[in-house]
Amino acid sequence: MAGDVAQENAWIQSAQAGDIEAFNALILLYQDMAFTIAYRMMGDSHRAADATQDAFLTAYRRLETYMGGNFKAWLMKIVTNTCYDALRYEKRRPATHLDDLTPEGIDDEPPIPDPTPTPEQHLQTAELQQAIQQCIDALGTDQRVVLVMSDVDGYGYQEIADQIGAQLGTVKSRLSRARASVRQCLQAVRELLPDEYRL
Amino acid sequence: MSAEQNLNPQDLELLSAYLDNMLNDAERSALEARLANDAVLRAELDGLRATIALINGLPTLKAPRNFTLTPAMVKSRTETGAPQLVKSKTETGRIIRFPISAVMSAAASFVFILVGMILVFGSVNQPSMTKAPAPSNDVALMFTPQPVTNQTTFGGMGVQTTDEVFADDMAFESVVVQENQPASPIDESGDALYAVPAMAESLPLETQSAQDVMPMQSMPTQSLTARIIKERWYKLLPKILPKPRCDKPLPLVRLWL
Repeated sequence: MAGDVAQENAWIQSAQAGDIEAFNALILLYQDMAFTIAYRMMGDSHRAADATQDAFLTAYRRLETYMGGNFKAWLMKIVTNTCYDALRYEKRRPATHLDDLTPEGIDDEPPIPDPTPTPEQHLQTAELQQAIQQCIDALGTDQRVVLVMSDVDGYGYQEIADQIGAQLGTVKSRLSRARASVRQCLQAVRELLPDEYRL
Repeated sequence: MSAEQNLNPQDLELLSAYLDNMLNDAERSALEARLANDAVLRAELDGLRATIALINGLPTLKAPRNFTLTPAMVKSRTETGAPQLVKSKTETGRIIRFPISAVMSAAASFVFILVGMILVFGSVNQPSMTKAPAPSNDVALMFTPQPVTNQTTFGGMGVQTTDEVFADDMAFESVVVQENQPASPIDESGDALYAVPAMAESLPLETQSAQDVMPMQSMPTQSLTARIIKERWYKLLPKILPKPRCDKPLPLVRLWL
């Protein structure tokens, strides 16, 4: 573990000095996590991939602003902000994504969880995961962003409020309504839920 | 039964904050007391807790591709050593371009405003050079709301109102029109109303009129160029502005002149 941290720090220093390959090593280390956050927020693998790529570009550009500390948290914050900006932009200017116009069945499958489970496990859990994601996607942008930041990214209320520029009370309200909505949404797929999670 | 059907938003917010340990001691105690006696509230709390667990338990997904940066995406480092990116497609699309039509339009607007300011301030701030008597023909009536009482209006004061300046200028123009087109009636289209001869021909008349009605210390100080611009402006303006439908001048015309 200590060796991993030392290796990560070495990559960060090299990347700050302009070494692209060192930064690419960091990308390979965190791209799954970054893509997962983007997918939870965007609800679409193509837009999530675009947001992830933009986030890494932004991170590389702002490497000089990284002053030490938890690099993963710093990077994931950029991913979250990039997705939030993209969602706000889409909210202001709603348009159909070009990728949405591709015929169904062509590269529009949900992303594969990592590590990939056995086929049996996948069959058992894929529907449930898809149902949860659909319930998240059904939320409005504001509620979805707060829910993912809290229950997927693990941010605290104050961090969320600072990142989205909202009051603390607004974050609490949006989060409670988002959780209640997801819970209500999942009532329709109770049979998919494990016994310990029956709502 | 959904949570929203059973609980009001305040209770939902309390339960959500309780699960996140965001309640103060008093709020937590009060809520726990209610939970001990309210089965519905407990059920809602359990449901919310399960929902959070389900969301939190979603697996990490495998990225559909590598997001590594390539030399084509990243420009070489700057002189200070800080990495700098080439413009992405989106950024490239945001390059601001100035179409030639917009530039020409802006330039024309600037000239238009500049000429207008020269005319306005040149007329208001400087004493008018021509103080001819008010003409009695239709030309003067068309532009003059009240009969101009020539030098008695402004005599001795050295200050003119905008109306007076307007009347003075129109008087000058009317004299020129009368001199050069004495026998041409004004047609219905009104084109003849604004026919102004060349400045070179009008200057002697203008000077003579001014000498007749003004003392020497009030001699004109306006330049010849400004007078030419003003006369041509008078000629051009009616073609730009809509024709007045009444005998009173348009406020905009009066403002400009």
